[in-house]
Order: sequence, then C-alpha cells, then structure tokens
Amino acid sequence: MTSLIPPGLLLLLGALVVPLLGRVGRQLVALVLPLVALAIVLLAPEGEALRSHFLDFTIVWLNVDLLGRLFAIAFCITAFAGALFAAGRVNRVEMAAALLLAGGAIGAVLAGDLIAFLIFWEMMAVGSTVLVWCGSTPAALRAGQRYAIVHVAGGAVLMIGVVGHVALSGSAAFATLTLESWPQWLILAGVLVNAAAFPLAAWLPDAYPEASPSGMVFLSAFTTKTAVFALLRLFPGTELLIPVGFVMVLYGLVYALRENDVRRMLAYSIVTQVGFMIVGVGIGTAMALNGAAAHAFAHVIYKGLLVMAAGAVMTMTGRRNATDLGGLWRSMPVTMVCCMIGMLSIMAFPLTSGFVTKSMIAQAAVDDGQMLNWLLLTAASVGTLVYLSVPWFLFFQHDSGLRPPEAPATMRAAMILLAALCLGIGLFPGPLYALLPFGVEYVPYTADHVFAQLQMLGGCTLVFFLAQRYLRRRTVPLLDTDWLYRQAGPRLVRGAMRLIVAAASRAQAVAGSAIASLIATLARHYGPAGRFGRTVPVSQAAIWVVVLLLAFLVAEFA
Amino acid sequence: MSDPASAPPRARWRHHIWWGLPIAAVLILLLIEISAPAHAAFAELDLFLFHGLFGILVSVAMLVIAGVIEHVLARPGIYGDD
Repeated sequence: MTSLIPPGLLLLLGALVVPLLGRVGRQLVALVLPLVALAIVLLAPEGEALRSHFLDFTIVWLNVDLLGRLFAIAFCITAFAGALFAAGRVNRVEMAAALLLAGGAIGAVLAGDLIAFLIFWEMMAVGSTVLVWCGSTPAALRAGQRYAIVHVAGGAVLMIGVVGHVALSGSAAFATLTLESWPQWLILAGVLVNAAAFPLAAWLPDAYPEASPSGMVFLSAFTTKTAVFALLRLFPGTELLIPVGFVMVLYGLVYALRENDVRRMLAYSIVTQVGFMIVGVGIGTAMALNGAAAHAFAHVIYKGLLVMAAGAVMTMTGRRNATDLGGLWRSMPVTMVCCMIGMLSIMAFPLTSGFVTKSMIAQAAVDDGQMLNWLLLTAASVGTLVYLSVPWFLFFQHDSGLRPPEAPATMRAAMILLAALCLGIGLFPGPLYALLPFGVEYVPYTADHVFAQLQMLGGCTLVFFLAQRYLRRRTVPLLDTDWLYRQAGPRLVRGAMRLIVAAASRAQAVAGSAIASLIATLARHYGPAGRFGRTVPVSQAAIWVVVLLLAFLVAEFA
Repeated sequence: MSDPASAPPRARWRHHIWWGLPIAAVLILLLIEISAPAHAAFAELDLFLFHGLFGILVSVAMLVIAGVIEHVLARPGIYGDD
C-alpha cells in the first residue's frame, strides 16, 4: 500500500490543497503530512515502487534505498519542525510553497531515475523562489528575481545535461557518473549551482535572509542538501570536488566573519558546511561518504535550529543586524538555550550531533592517507569563530536595551524539538549510523578524539574572546561575486542599450537624410519646374512618339 | 563585548568570566595533558597539545585573512539601492 503513496507526492498534494483551506485546516495539513510522509519513508521496503511510461521512457518515481531514506527522514523531520515553527504566522501561499519545496526535495532524494529527479528538482526551484518572494519586502522581491534567474539557469544546464546523457547513453539510471562526456559535466555544473559552490554561491546569502523567519527555515534545509545528495549519488570519489569544497569552506567562513546581518551570517555558514560535505564526497571512501551523508543529516537539523533562533529574535525584535542586538538572554532564555545547543552542534562539541558526524570526514581523510586534506579539514574547524558569533551577538555582547517577550509557544516547541534531536544524536549516534549507506565501524567517543576536539574548540574560543575588537561587525557591505549580475550585468546591459539606441538614432538620421535627398532630386526633375514635369505641346510629344516608334522598328528588323 | 573599563562592576566581572572561561578550559586540558602519562586512557595523546595551539594559530590566521579581505573588498554603496 505504501508503495502507492510516494511521500514526496503526498506533500505536493498538500501544497495544492493548503491554499483552499482555512487557518486551522492549513496548519493541521502542514503538520500532519510530514509525519505521514516520515512514517511511509520508515516503513517502505527498499527498491523501486512506482513507474510510469512517458514517450519511450519508463520513469521510476520512487526508489527507496539507504541513502535516499536517510535524506528523506531528515527532510520530513525538518518539514514538520518548520511547519510547527510557522504555525499561525504564515499565509497560505507561503505554506503551499514550503510544502512544494519539501515535497520536491523528498521526491528528488527518492527518485528512481534522472528524469524523475529532474522533475522534482524543478519543483523545488519553484517552491523556493515563491518562499523568497513571501518575504514580502521590496528587497525580497528583487532577491527572489535574482534567485529565480540563477536557478532557472542552473536547472536549464542540468536539464540539457540529463537530456544529452540519456540521448548519448540511452540510460536514465540515477547512478554513478564518470565525467566521460559533456552532458555529465553539465549535470555536475547544474548540481553545483544548487549546492552553492563558489563562484556561484552568492545567491544563497543574497536570497535566504530575505525570506520570512519561517521561510528561511525551509530554505536552509532542502535545496543545498538535495544537491549534496545528488553529488553523493552521481559523483562519489570525484577528486575535483575536494578543492571545490575547500574553497566553499574558506569563502563561507571569511564572509561570515565580516557579516553584520545574523541571518546572512548563517547563510554563509551553510556554504561552509556544504563545503565540508562536498570534500567528503570528493574523498569518496565508504567512510567519507558516510561522513558526508551523516553530516548532511545533522546539518539539516542544527542549521534549522540556528535559523529558527535567529528568526525568533527577528520576529520578536524586528531586527537582524548584530550591531542592533545583544543582551536578549534576559528576556528570551529558551531561545537562547536552544541557540546555544545549535551552536555547540555546529561547532562539533562532544555530546552533540556535529561531533559524531563532522569528524567522520576528517577521519576518512586520515584512513585514506590524505594528510593534507585532513590538515585542511582540521584547520576549517576555526569556523568556531563564526558559530560563536551567532548566539554571542543575539543574546550576549553589549546590552542593546531590548526586552522582547519570549518567542511564541509553537516557535519554542519547534526549537526544543530540534535541540533535543541535536543532543539525542550526539548522545546516541547508533541509530543514525544504522541509517548510513555503508557499514559504520567508527567510534566517535575516544579519549583522543574528545580531548583533541575540546582543545581545538578551547583554542578557538580563547581567540574569539581575546580578539573581540577585531570581530566587531561593520555595516559596509563586502564585494561578492553576485555584484557581477546585480550591478555589473545591468550596467553592461544598460550600456549596450545606450549604444544600440545611439546607433539606431544615427541610422535613422542617415536614412532620413538620404530619403530627403532622394525626394528633393525627384522633385527637381519631376516637379512642376523639373525636366520631366514641364508641360510640352501635343505636336512636340507626337514627334517624340514617332521617333521612338521608328527607333523600335529599326532595332527589331535591322 | 563592550569596553570593560567603562562598564559597571557587575558587567566588568561578567566580561572577565567570559574570556576567563576558555582560558580555564585550556589550562585544565593542559593539566590533563601533563598528567597523561599516568593514565592509560591518555597514553596515546602524543599530539594532544597540538590541537589547542593549532586552533589558536588558525583562528588568528583566519582573522587576518578576513581582515585583509574586508580591507580589499569592503565598498560602501557597492550594491547601490539594490
């Protein structure tokens, strides 16, 4: 029976129904559907379950395996927590878009072939774009337009790649590709756009923070992690991904360190964390792939938690800049504690989910003898400077004088749920390890690992507090790659348009002058005073006719 | 963190506690490191101290990189009204 109800399709149907319902019905559907989808994902047997025929192709809409199930579980949990966080505060369009995004993401990770994956992928693009627009500010509308352009372009590249691959190979199998043909390179490029790989990463901090507080929860969970899933499925062990991932880590860290907007700070840190996962995919051993998948699972949850905390503060204070906030621990203690748990998780503090997942990737590098990669992964742990910043700026630093009430009950419930999961996975990693695609022999809690990590975090934390004056945020924006299409591109187009208008104007002037000259010439010759316009006597005309007739006869019969 | 010199006494104490905590944590870990040879569980922690120092060094390096990047790329009004 479960094979007849794909969980992704269930949420997509919910997206269609939600706009028609009243407030209570809308909330009920948004809360119940992810739970039903989660139950289906957990109970569905492995293997292909739903096929249909289109043209000469058989599309496999549902294929449950360990990797897809792992991501689908994370997505169902986040969809439920996001709906809980949003309960009572979002309009019907935003909730429908959230369900469309979640359904598309769950459908994509459970897709049985490339064609089904592509269709769900495009649904995600539509849902996420509408979610950005639901921020309902002029900035959100502009950011949504840019987001749509980037994702339409990325989706087109992916579609050309998939169509080309199917045409060349005759197979739409959703399995490992080897980058032997140009369509496979296009597929990789299309997926990397959604993964926010540098230099195409700027769309993420540009768009996500402009969504509503609940909208960003959904956005932060699905798009980039579905791309990580696609890389795990299609390009495991592709060494090119290792430098791509490291550049993302560095880019995200540096920009987050200078960012004043807390939600943009979190958006940049998504790029960093996805970079970690992509490095794991590039290393490509069973341990590394397990690490990337586990880290994606943990990241969906703790990043959702941090985004919720920032969103709760934004909802209650109307502010999102670090320079405008501080001292909120007095009036928002529950949000503060949940945010701290999220921070500890993303820092990979022992007893949290980040500790038992993040280190698997570094351990994989050690096991495979890739010591340079291990060193770089360890160095990337200085992300602590960024992660500490989030609760520090929101709840501590100076007293901003703000005393907002604690976040509403549903917001708190959602944050407590995700915080409990962060701690639960950290304390009992066994169930998560059992869900991973390869067998796990990794033991995270060794004295060596725990104390080494504590020392690392202690060193970073020390620098964080001693170097506070260098961590102060400024309101001056940093130049990013999106400047090319936000400023340079439009300027280029405007310049080209000016050139075209000038050229057209000149051509018009030249043509006008030529026509005027022609008219004047004709007027001179055929006008009343012209050679051919003059009135001649009938006798003279008759003579000319006779002459012409004679000339014709001579020419004809001579 | 606000300027401790101009802060009221209670806030000043909080300021000291904030940056004192990680120092204390590092010192405690250092103490464990020193006593490591006496405990079988810590016998293999050859690079133990390395991680803390590494964290400090790389954090400082990251701050320097971020500072340079900000110096080079910070542009008031670079995005106009957009």
